Amino acid sequence: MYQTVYESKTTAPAPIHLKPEVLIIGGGIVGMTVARELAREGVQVVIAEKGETLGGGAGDLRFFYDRPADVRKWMGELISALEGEGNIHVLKGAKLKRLDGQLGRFQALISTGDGKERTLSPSAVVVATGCITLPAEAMGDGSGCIGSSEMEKLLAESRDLPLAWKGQPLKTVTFILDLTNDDIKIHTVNAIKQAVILQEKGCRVAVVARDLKVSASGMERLYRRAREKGVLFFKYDDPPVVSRSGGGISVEVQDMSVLRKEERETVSLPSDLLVIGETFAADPETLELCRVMKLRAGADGALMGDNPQLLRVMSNRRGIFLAGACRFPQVITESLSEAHAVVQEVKALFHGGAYVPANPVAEVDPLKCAVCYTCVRLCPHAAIGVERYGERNVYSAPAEKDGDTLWGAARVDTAACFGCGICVAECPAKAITLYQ
Amino acid sequence: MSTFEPKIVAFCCEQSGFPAAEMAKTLKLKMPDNLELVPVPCSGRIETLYLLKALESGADGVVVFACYEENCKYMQGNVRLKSRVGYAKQIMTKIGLEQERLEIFHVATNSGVKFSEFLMQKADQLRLLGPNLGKMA
Repeated sequence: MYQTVYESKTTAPAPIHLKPEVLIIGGGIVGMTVARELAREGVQVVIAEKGETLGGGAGDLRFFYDRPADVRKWMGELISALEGEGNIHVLKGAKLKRLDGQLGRFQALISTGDGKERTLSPSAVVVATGCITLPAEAMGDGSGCIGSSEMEKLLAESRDLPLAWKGQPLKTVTFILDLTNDDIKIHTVNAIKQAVILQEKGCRVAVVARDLKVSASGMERLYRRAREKGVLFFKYDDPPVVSRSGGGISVEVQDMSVLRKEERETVSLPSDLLVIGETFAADPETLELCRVMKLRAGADGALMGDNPQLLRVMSNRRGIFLAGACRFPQVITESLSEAHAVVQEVKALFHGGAYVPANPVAEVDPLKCAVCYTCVRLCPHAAIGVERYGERNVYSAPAEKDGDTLWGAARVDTAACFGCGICVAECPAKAITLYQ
Repeated sequence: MSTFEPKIVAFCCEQSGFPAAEMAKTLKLKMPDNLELVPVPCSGRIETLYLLKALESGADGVVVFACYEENCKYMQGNVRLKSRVGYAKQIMTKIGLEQERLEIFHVATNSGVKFSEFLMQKADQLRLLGPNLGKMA
C-alpha cells in the first residue's frame, strides 16, 4: 500500500469563468496567424505590436523554401484579412507595462504609441515576440561578405535581371554556415533555398557548413534538388580560411568526404561573394516582458527551452502561451505549426466557458501564515500572492490571529496552481496544505 | 547478518519516478523485498523532515527518484530537492549517520530497468553497511 501526501477535501474548487478574450503580444507572422484563427472562432483578439506595422521579423524573408509564393504578397494578404476582421483590434506602438491576476482574470496595462494607457482583461495571453538578429560577423576585413537576409533582398530585387552585386556581375557565391548559432537549422534552410535560386540564375554556388540540418518538412527534397543542380557542399570541423588577393576572395576548406585523414586535400573556392548566416539572439525587450509577466527564460534568453514534461507552447503560467521565435529561432513552417498549436490550446482552454481545476491545489491557512513571502517568491507558476483577509490593518503574530485582526496572508490562486507542492515543503510556518 | 534485509523508503516523483516504478512492476523486474514507495507530486514536495523522519522511523536507506535537472515539470522542483538533500546529509553527518543512506537518483518515465537496478544495488550496499543505528523502532 502506498502512503500519500495529499489531504482530501470534500468541496470541489469553484470553476473559473473564461470569457473569450485573448491578448496577443507581438504582431509578427505567428501573432497574426493566431489572431486570425481565433477570431474565426469568435474570440475577441487584441494584438499588441511594439512597432508601427505588422509583420515583425519575417519582413526580412522574401522566399519560402517549400512553396513558390512570394512572402511579401502572402503577408500582405494576411494583414488585410486581419484588418477586415471585426473581432481583431490592433494596438500599435504598444508596450505591456503590468500584468496582474491569473487565468481568466488577467489585468493587462498597456501603453500605446499615442501616449495613452489602457487596461485590458483578457482570459489568456499569447506571447509571440520573436527574436532579434545581430549583423553577420564579417570574416577577415569584411569586404565582399554579406548576411543571408541581404542575400535574400538581392535575390528578390534581381528577380528578372542578371545577378550583380555592387555593379559587378556575380558568378560564384560561397555560403559559410554555422559560425554562430550552431544548433539551429534556419541557416541551412535559407542557404539551400538561396543556393537553388542562385544556381538557376547561372551562378556557381558552394555551401560550407559544420552540419547541414535538413530536419524541416520538404528540406531533404530541396537538398537533393540543390545537389542535382550542382551546388557543392563541404563539411568542416575547423572554420574555413578566407583569403583575399587582387579583388577576389578565396575560401579554403578541407575536403572531408575522404575517409582517411591523410588523403584529405584542401579545396580552394574562389568566390565573388561570401554569405554568412546572421546570429540570432534573445530580444532584450522580451526579457523585460518576462520580468513583467513572471515568465521563465532560459540561460540563453529563450523562453521555456524544451522540457519533455511540457508541451511546446506552454509556459510556466497557466493561461499564458508562447509561440514562434521567442522560444528559439526557427524556420517559418515551424513557427506556423506552433501558432496552430497555440490556437488548439486556447480553444481547448475556452471550451465549455470555464476552467475547472482538476489537479491537486495548495491552500494557505491564513491563521498560520506569517506573511514571509517565501512561497510568493518561489512559486514556479507565480500562483501565490498576498491578500488582506481582514478589515483592520493591524499586524498580529500568527498565534494571535483571528478573523477580525488578520493583517494579510498568502493566497494560492486555484486557477494558476499546478499542484507541485513545492510551497508546501518550503513554508516555514507549515501553513500550506495540498488538497486533492 | 545474512538475514538482514534493509528497509528502503523510495520517494518517487509522480512525473518520472512513479511511472518508472510502475513500469518496473509491469515488467516484473527484481525489486528489494523490504521497499516502501511514497509517490509525491514533485520531488520539490519532499521536505528535509520527510527524509530524516523516514530514517528515524525505521528506514535503513532513503532514495529519492526525481526527474533529470532541467526536465522538471514545475521548473525547479528537483533543484530545490537537491539543496534539501544536501542539508539533510549535513545533519546526518553531524549525528553520525552514513551519507550512503540518502541518495537522489534521476530517472525518466521509461527507465523501469534502471529503477530496479539502482534499488537492487542500493539494497546490496545497505546490506554491507548494516542496519541504520539512528532508527527509533
